[in-house]
Order: sequence, then C-alpha cells, then structure tokens
Amino acid sequence: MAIVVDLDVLLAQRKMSVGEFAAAVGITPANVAVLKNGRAKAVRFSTLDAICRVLECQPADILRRVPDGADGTAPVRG
Amino acid sequence: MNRSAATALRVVLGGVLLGTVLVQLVVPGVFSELGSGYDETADLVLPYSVVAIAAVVFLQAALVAVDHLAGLVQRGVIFTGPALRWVDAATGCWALGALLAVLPPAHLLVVVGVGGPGIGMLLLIGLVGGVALVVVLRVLRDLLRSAIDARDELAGVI
Repeated sequence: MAIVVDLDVLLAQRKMSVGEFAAAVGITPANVAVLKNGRAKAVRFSTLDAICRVLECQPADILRRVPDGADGTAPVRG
Repeated sequence: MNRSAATALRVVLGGVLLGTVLVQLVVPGVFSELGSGYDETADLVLPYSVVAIAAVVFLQAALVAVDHLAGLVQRGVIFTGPALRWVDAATGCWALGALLAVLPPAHLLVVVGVGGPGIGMLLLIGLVGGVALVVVLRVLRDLLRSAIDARDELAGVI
C-alpha cells in the first residue's frame, strides 16, 4: 500500500498506549495494528478526524505517500 | 427487509408448502380419473403419478431452501458465502422439479402419441416457467454475490 500511516512517533510523544488510543478514536486495537503495518485499504474521514483530534496533529503529520515499489511492495491494482 | 415482512413471507411460504402437499395427495386420484378409461394410458397412471409427486418433492425442497434464506435475512446473516449455496440449492431443486414435471406430458405426446393441445400447452408452460424461474434465480444470485462483495469491501474500511 503506497500510503503509510506513522502513528508510533506521535503515540510515544503523547505517552499513549495502543489500547488507549484505539478506545479514544473509537476503533479496535486490531484496526490500529492494520493501520500501522500498512494493510489498511481505506480509512473514513471521520476516523482520520478522530485520530488527529486525539493525537492533536494534522493529517500530514501521520500520512505519507511512498510510491509503490520504493518500499519493496508490489503495486496494488484496485 | 424488516422483521414483520420476513415473518409474513415465511408464513406465506408455509401456506404454499401446505398447498403443494395437497397437490401431491390429489394427483393420483386426478391422474387415475383422467387416464384409467383408455387402454393407452391406463398403465401410465402409476408412473406419471410417481413422477409428478417426485417433481413436487423437488419443488418443496426449493421452498424449504427459500424459507431458510428468509431465516438468514431475519437473523441478519444473509450476506455470507453459505447463503449463496442455499440459493444454488433452491435453483437446482427448482430446475430438477421443473424437468420432472415436463417429463410426463412430453412422454405422453412424443412416445405414446396421445393427448391434445391441453397437454401440449401444459408442456410449454412447464418448460417456459421452469427456465424463466431458473434465469430469475440466477440473476438474484449474482445480485447477492455483488452485495456480499460490496459489504466485504466496506468492512475493510477503518
């Protein structure tokens, strides 16, 4: 997946556990893991809004695009 | 489909199922009355009755499958793989039942060589009705498949 979600740095800065973060955002810890390891195919804007509210950041702070192939992943046709 | 509609549908299905049982009970008597008087058809009354009753059994199996699907809708688990298999079961049972139902009129007209336009019309109605409903069920199966795929994709949205 070309879109990378960087949560670890901000979670560490806010001293928040994955469980607390998941509960605050309103998603399951399993989905947090899916976000972190790049397996997420789609995120609601409402979820992104909640994530940015909880981490007190902008979407650009946690979303990064890596062109397919550069990080070793194959392009996904969808 | 809301709960009361699904329940009403299942009540109607139960009524139709009862109706098919009545048909099965009445078939031997009607066939006997129709065919016993003639030499050519006297021996055919029993096999035709067996085939007709068997055809209705397949129809009943299809109705049971449809009722099960209605139950899946009531429980909110219709958008799953097993639901597709029940649709296939209903389609197959209906096709086999329709095939069995057209065999006696076809046999009577082609092999035995008796029977007027009424038998021919019965054969035509059975063929057309059987094929039409198999096509409809196939289209509805494709609809269910699309709905399942769409919901699976939506389930992946975080």
